[in-house]
Amino acid sequence: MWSYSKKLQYPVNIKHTDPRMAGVIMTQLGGPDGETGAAMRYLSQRYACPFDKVTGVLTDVGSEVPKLHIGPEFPFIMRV
Amino acid sequence: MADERTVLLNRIQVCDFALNDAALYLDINPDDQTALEYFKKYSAMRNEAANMFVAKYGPLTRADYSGEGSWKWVDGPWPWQKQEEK
Repeated sequence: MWSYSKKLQYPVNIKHTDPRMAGVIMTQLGGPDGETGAAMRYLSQRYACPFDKVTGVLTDVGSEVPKLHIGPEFPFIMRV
Repeated sequence: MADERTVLLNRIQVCDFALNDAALYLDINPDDQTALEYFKKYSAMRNEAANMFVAKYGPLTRADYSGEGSWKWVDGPWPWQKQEEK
């Protein structure tokens, strides 16, 4: 379902490491109230959505985080 | 007899499946000429079918927008919605 482009969405240049910040980012990405769970909910909500335009938005918004997970930014986040 | 839309979409699905499998093989065998030829063949077939499909039946991805006066990406039916039985 996702298609991957071999490029960064936004340039990443981490200048110093910060393990505490890394933990916050990892939790916000994949934690219990994180973006990944939100993305899965958007994608599931599409199936009961009665408006085509809203279905389009749910599809596009729900696709952003899965693209981030498989995207080249991910190893940079892991390295924070 | 299936209509043209179904035939084209089916061809795209078959090609994408073959391409996906071939890509996994090529990831670890990047110099296999037979596999490269196979990928090239199905890639061309896929692109031809996708171009015909998009021109007649609307976008498969957001990037398929080609200058119409309306953003057809949001037009239903979506793939999981019941289509008329053919």
